[in-house]
Amino acid sequence: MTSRKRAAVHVPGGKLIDLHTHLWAGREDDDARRMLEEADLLGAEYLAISHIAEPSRSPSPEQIRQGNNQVARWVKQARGRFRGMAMLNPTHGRGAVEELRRCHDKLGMRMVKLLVAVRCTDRRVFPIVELCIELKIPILQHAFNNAVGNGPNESRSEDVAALARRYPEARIVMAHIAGDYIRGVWTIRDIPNIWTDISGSYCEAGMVDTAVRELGAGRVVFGSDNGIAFNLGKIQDAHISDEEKACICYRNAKELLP
Amino acid sequence: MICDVGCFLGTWPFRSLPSAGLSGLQAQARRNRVKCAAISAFEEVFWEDAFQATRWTVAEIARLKWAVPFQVVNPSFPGWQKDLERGVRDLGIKGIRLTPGYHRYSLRDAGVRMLADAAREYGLPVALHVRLQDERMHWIAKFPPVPPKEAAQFLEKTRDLRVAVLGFEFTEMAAVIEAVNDRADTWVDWSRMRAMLWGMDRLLERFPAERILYCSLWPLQTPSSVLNQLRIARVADDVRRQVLWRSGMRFLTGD
Repeated sequence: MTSRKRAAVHVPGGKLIDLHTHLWAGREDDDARRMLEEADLLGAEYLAISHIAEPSRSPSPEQIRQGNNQVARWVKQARGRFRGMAMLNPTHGRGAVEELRRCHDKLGMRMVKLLVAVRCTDRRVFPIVELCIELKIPILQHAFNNAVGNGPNESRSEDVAALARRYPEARIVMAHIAGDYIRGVWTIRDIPNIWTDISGSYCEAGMVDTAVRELGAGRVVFGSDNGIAFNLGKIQDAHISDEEKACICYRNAKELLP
Repeated sequence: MICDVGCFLGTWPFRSLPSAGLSGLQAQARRNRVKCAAISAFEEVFWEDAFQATRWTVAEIARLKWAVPFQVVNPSFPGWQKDLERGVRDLGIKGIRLTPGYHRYSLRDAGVRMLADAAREYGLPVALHVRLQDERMHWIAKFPPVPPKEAAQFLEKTRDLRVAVLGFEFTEMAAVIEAVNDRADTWVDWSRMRAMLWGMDRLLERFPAERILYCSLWPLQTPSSVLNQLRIARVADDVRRQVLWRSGMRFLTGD
């Protein structure tokens, strides 16, 4: 008999919000359906999604617009199970700011995702951050401290820290706990306007424990980067309190993206 | 009931771990219903006099009936044959663990051929770790993973051995599909399969359950992350039993 048992995967606190997922170009519908299936199985309340136009690291204005429209279509179709994040390319200058306005005002998006078109210390990022502050919406900034070498224009935790120090009113979520999580956490621990998500394709023991010890549970959010059950295991096995686990799984994300 | 072919005692030299040591091992085994586990020590990987670490590891787990000692062997280091012989004869070693990326040898090296001969002679299974920690996180030194093609060639040359290839990512496994599915006593695991939606369902499209076994890489990793992928998979309960228990026991015992 084929079986999937919802009870087999324990969600600490019983509630889950995933603040970091994607629809990949060319397979948006497949990704969305698969994600909803996994989210249903785990009882996730909603998932924040953005579009990824890879292999292009610097998508064109048209790719960005179409990608955000795809996200908006799925947000509507999924009836509350998805929250849209506006994917922006800062190299588009004023066009990026206008796209954020469009995503916010017309598509109802309340979070921004920035990837690898430029490092987040690039001055072309600043107008986007300033508009996010005005609109009171958080930014999910890709970051990775990669010991075998970062990609071109890929931000490291130090870049995220520099941006957050420049804009203390901005609320920034450093994605992937910056890969090498120890360096990532050490870089941001004294910068209260940076949160971090625990997404990523690795499940190193100690990641969540370290983040909670150094940042406090209030600055750690659940993100999966499209592997919900896998990433949930990091929280399940962390040596932290149930209360702290519940904060990470649900409450912090609910405050950032209600 | 779980058979785990990859757990480690000792100290990981690059960062602190929230749970480790014998008591940690026992606790996670109880929590996850691990009834059989192949155990080595990190010091066997990182010490130059690795056999000293093998000695204390075997002593440490002696009273655990479910623990099976695996000796980490470096076939590029002088005298490994003698250490392996002493491991089998004096310590009751039940398997060999290889970490080529950390010991900086190629699976094409002559020493590896000799090691395969020794494994045949002693009737020992070989656990080949293509990586332990994600190489992107090795902050102070580089430890490159085993190239998938090299692993595939190794499997072709060791058809009469029980070999588990551990730690490949999903995309890397493409290189070993034929080599693994083409023979009886070869396995892959999903301990380092990157986060992906319905990963186990997709892995089972590539390999039959008889070719997949469980490796936690405890205490380096969070076992729940690895197990959750199987827990949510759309597979029969018999497939779960095969992957979590029978494949591992076949690897460890040959039965």
